[in-house]
Amino acid sequence: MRRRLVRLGTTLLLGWGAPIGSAHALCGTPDVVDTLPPDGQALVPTNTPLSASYELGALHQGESVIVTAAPGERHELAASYSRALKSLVVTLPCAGGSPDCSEDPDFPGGLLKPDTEYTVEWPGLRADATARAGRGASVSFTTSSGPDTSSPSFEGTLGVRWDFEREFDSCSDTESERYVFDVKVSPPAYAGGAELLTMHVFQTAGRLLEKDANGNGIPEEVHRGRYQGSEWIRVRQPIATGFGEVCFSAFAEAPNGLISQGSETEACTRTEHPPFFEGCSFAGLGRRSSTGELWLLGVAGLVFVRWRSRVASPNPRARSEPTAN
Amino acid sequence: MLLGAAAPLAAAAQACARTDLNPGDIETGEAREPNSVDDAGAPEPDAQIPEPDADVEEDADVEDPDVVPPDECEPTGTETCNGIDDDCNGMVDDLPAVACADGGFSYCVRGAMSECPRECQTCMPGSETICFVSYCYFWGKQTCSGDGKSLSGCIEEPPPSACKEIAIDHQKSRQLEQCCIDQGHCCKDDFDLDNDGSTRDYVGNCVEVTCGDD
Repeated sequence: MRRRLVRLGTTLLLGWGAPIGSAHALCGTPDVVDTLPPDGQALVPTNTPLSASYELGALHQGESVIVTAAPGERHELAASYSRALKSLVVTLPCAGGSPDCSEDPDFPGGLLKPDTEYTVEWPGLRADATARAGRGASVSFTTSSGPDTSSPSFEGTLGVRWDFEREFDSCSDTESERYVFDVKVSPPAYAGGAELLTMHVFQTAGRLLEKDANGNGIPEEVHRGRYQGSEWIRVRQPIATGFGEVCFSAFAEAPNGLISQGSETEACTRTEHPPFFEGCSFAGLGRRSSTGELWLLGVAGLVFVRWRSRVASPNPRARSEPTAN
Repeated sequence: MLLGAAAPLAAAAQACARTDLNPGDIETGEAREPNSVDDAGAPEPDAQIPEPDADVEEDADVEDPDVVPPDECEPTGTETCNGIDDDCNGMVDDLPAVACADGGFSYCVRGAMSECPRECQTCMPGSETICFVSYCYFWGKQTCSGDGKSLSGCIEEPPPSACKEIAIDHQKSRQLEQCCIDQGHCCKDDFDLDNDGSTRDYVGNCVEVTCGDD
């Protein structure tokens, strides 16, 4: 028993002292998180670009996007990836109206064909050349009778509320702390369907915003995503960026590239400094608290086993002690 | 330090008139927007936004745009990004987006052009920097979080063999930071070895950490 305990203790202590490594391997994969148009969308204007958003920055190695127009043929189309936007956009045949382009009947004039069902297979991309590919996506949608050239309407931000979040980050193997802002927005409207709008949210005030020549904060885009039908848009900011007086503005962008009004308004709040209570572990700020808890558990286990062995001892004095009192 | 830095924000705070509300106030909907409706409180179930459980604050005092009624508006020229309806078309700063060199666009937001989108906000997810501590190994590592928005705390670890003697002899020092740089790491510039007046930045081989910004 004692030998087993020594082995257990040695294992725990070695585990405690072991260097922290291999954080890179757990940094996730660039999965597709949303697409434009979304799956199942009806009446999509024919001038809607095809794009997919990825969770993480990825390396685009020429992966093509497969687009099928029912009952037409399957097209392997080239796409361009923006690392800044983390999005892949399909280049439709004859897009831009090149005069020497042999027109494809599934993409007349470089647009989608009216009243047609399309299926798009988005590729999973890799974070780097050696990593495994992330999850792709397959979506279907139907087009409307033609293009849409109208502007979206949007009144802007209506308010903001905040909270504090501390979550384990598998990438850095530590807990990361974030302010969570829920920005309330007025419902946007668009003739082609509000579900096709992209919402842009900007932080317009904050202690770490870059300043212009007049000392005014330069707005920084903190959220860009398709309108999900909710009046709340969630933004996570690091502590340094989200502390103090923080303001947000927003606008909506239609697939045709036209943007709404609404960014003239802003909603503000003042955050308080988060508590830095680390819980009952031996780990300091940013340390692996799970290891500390394991260590504590191991010590408690040793004490418990030692106590058990004493209680179970054949020594008659030890057994008689409780009744003697 | 953080609290001290909040003082210069007084001007910004004044520009944004605030009315702090408790969660209960949100639910009862002290309507300040003309088209406010009864559901002004909790997010919809499909929004996948859990109800915050503490210190929730809403500031619905939204600063209105500088819009002048069309009959009172005097055109001052072509529309520019200044928060004013210069051409009196009823729309403030209705300007096209400006394409950015590395993708994405810069937009006119509240009278100022926004920053171009960046590949990462603070650091490349999973990238590592070297930091220095005042005890034991005097050497540590910070790792960028999965969302690229922050670096972890400094996790102590043994220095590489080339810097081991320096760490023993000089502990946390300029010499150790220089050794870090010489070993090809991206290093916390605690001793301002780049002479830029800041000890909060990083020096050395930081291209893969800062998305090429440095």
